[in-house]
Amino acid sequence: MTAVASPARPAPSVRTTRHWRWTQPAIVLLVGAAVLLVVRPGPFDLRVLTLVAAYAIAAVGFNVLVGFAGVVSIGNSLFLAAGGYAWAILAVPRGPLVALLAGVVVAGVIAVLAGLALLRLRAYYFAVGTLALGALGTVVMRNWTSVTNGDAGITGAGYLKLFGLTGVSSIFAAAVVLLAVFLYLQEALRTSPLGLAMIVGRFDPPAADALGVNVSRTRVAAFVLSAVSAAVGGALVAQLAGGAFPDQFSTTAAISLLVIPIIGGRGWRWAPVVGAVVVIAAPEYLRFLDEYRLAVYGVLVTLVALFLPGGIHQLVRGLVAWVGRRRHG
Amino acid sequence: MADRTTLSARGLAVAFGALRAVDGVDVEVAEGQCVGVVGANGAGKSTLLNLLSGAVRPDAGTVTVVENGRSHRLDGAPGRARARLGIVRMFQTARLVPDLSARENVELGVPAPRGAWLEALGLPTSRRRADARRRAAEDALARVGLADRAGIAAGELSLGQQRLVEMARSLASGARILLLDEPFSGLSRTAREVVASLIASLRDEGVGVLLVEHDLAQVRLLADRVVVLDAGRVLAAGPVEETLADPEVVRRYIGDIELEIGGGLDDARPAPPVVAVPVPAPLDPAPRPPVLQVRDLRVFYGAVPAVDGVDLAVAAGDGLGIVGPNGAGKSTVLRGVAGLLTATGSVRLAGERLDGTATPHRFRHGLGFVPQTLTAVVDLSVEENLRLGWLAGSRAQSFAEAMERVGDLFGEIAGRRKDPAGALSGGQRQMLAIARALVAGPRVVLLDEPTAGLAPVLVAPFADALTRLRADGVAVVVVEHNLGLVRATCSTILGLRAGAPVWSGPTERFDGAAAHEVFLAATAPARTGPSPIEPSPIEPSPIEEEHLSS
Amino acid sequence: MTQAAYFVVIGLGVGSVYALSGLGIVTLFAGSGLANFAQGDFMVLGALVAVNVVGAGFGYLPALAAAVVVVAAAGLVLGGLFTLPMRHRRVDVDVVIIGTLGVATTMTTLSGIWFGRQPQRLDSPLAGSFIPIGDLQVPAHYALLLVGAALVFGVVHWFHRHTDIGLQLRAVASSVPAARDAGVRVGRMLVVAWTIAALVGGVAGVLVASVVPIAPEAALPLGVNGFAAAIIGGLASPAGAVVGGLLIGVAEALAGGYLNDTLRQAVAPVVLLAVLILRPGGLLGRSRTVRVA
Repeated sequence: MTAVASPARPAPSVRTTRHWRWTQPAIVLLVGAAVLLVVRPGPFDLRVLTLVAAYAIAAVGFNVLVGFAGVVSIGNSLFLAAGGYAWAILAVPRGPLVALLAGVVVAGVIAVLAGLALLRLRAYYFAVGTLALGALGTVVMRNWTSVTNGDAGITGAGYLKLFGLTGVSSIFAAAVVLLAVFLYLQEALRTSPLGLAMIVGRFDPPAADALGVNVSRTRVAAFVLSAVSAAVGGALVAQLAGGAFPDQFSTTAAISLLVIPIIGGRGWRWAPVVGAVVVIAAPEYLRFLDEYRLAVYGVLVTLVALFLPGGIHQLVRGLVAWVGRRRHG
Repeated sequence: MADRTTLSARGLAVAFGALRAVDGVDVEVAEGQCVGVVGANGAGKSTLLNLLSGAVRPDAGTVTVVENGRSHRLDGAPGRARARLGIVRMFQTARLVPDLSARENVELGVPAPRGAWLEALGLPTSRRRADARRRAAEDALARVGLADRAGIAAGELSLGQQRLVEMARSLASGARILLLDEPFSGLSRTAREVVASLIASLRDEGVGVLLVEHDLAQVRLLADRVVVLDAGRVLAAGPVEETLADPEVVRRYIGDIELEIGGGLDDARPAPPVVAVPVPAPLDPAPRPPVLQVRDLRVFYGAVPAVDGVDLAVAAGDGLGIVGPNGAGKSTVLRGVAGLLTATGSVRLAGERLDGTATPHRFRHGLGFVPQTLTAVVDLSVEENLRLGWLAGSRAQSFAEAMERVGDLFGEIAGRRKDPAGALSGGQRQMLAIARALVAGPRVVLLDEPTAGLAPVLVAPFADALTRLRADGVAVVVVEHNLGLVRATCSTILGLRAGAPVWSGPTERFDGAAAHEVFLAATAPARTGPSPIEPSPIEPSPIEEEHLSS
Repeated sequence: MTQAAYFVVIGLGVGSVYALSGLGIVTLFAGSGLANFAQGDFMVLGALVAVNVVGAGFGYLPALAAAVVVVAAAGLVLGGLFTLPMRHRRVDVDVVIIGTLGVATTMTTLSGIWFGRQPQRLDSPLAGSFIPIGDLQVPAHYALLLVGAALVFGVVHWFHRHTDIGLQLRAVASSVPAARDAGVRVGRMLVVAWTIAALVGGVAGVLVASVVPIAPEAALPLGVNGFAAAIIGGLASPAGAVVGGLLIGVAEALAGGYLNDTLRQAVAPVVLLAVLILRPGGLLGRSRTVRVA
């Protein structure tokens, strides 16, 4: 009976369902609460989960940058660092709000300047430029000892206290709440004129231009958003580590950040979360591979980039379509 | 009238290398007016549109918009500056974002009020604005009859529907002047009617329309004025019927535009050859065995067949011309045979099966392919380009021998062997492309629109070169708009329409009736061709990959 | 003055290594449009293989030969891997770039496991000989660096100009569609480009290991310096990459000698950013016509 599908009604997988923009934040908050209240993971697992949430926050902006606007940056470790160091330096003397805002502002200003200067370049040139930016950031972190305390880093940073929780639980709660906020913003952006303009600018710059979109301006906006979310993520990373250290914010961190939305499936609304679980949690649980785990991880990244360019989202879509076909006979 | 929004261009010119694509063109369109732009492939129509829309900067000339009595100079300004003034361009191939829904694609066209970026913050106040935008988009989709497709990802729509979505986007944008690039190509008959009535009602509502179009019937239907381009210049301009009846226009385009779109083709009169080359000898009484034999060739773009079951055969030293309207799949056939597009069906060359093999393998076994103009590797010298061709070929003869042969056939090219290919003129570059196929020692050479963009005076020497190639024992397959060239160089003709063969037979029997059959899908009053193939029902044919042309 | 000359010579020596790193990047970029972030890892691999072969009691030349073979094999494998997906569909180049980042992670980790994480130095065949500049003694190996780099550049240049494979490589670099229409086997040429890039990197690694101790983690900075060198030349010009590398080498040596080490580390990124912002076509790059639509 379903074989005689009326042509007016397309297959369900094709229809882009209207997405209620509170769905994602609600799921994240519920899962977060369930983890804290029901699952009650051990200290190691909780740390890993918190790190996943922190990186997922940073990756929301990156998903916007890579997935919506189609720009690759390899220097976002700089913005993680801005958020992390601002937290480590300012949280105790000035309070958490000032520390968080300071990181966001510093990252945003750098992103505006760098974006204006570099984003008129073609894709690879921009990627290489951001690589240099990240490298410069590392040099500054290691050598500007009066502010960053050099290689030793800054310790005793303190953390956000939320819902009367203490320790890692509190940082986890803060990360989950912030993640929900950023996911809400991601969805709001996607359906707004700015978000649509970013997406058309990625697919077809000449067509975007003909539609009145200022492509370089939307790219700068996406870059700034990625910097802001990276700064917030960086602040959380610093809280978790109890301070800010150059090694946390090396180019390796920037690469992880870049890989998260790609593995998840760029532009997909769940990509930051799913990607962060794979990229951040997987190596922690690949420890049985011992020293080979980073090599295995690198191979995975390469294989996904070459043979599964749509990331996990591609798998999910394929699975949904397959199930749909099975159900319809 | 000074208060009407008017887009006007004066003395526009741009050159790409040696090719003067647009060379001093004036054109003007005011609101409520529809101006048609016609011309052969390579006449500069699309380039003119690119200049008007800001996608290409002119070397000379001005583009001005008069709006509310204020005049804005726009040459040199980016496209988005025009969009703000209500000048909207529609591309030839639908340029939708495949991942976004049809409605979201239309929403992109809805003018964003000041401060629209605040919506990105997801504040409650943005709700009303978003709803208004959504409604505007849904209204526009309803006008093109796609209301029920609003939620579907644009990539899942058929090509005709995608075109309609783009029309809806133009509607939603509140355009004052609309620049349309062949809006009818590749559309089914019903979709054509929808698009035509949309354009007509837009014009009646006071939108100015610049219509670049091959289909003269549509131009006659919609346009008030027409501009005829030829080799980058305005050949004629004025009211539609008078201009298209202009003897000069008719003389240039008979056998080309007229046939292609079918204004009034005189049945009794055979199309006069454009070039004065002796008509090729009739076919041998005893047909020789074909050197290239293609059976049941099919090429798909996505799920849509662009070429659907084409057979062809050509014997050594023979010429086969493939003709048909734009979008018939002619170039696609050649690319399928050459292996540059994935195709099914069998391809045999001198008895050897080539289907399923990679292009370089086919080149090595005697297949030569001459792409459209401008695809020589411009950074390399002439000789290096030729050596590339030789390396890819059978290498039956040494490179020096092959170069000697080139010297015999194309002395002009051999004389410039050390110059970079980019420095050659359009005609020389086309010679080089053929010479490159020749040094490979091919048995068959496939030529894709070899005269597109070639000045008319160069067509005759070109036809001559092809004839010499045939005399050398090489079989030639030509896809060509210029029927004169086809008549001069080919002994048989294959007519394609909508990806399927509709006519085939010897050249001398390709008369007006056959042309009607092939180009107009109309059974001519007289009778049909010698071996008419049952015309297939007209389907929306995909747009051919012809971005490089014009 | 003597001191300045000393720093310039040292800088030219180190700069010639950056030049080779840039040459490898340019070779691959011109051929495939790929920005290869694993170029520094080819250098590290070459250096560490050579160090271990010498450590096993063989001479400098056998070590160089071994490094060349291993690195070429790695380039061949990676070239094949990265060409595979291009066979059947159009690939998104930025995704492929991320693939090279994965390769970089893998190679750095494996080098660390196999050869150790400590910086290792390769004994130069010219150890103990010096070139006097005034009253300062420049190790003769710096001259070897320059000569070696010039040799490699010369061979690569000759290969591109005077062989049929080189001709086809240039065709692919000029325009992939035009090359494909001319019957060039583009996929194979990309594998060749990968192999050349790897070879150049490997030789550069062996050369530099005698003056700078090499650890696996050095791959990234070496790559960044290579990018800086390549960008100065406009990313598509081999000669530009060489000039760029030498400039950065000299600037680093002078900054390290007269100022401090912090500024030395900042030279390459700062130069890179400055060139990108001020002259995006490269200091020496000709202004290519902007592609429209």
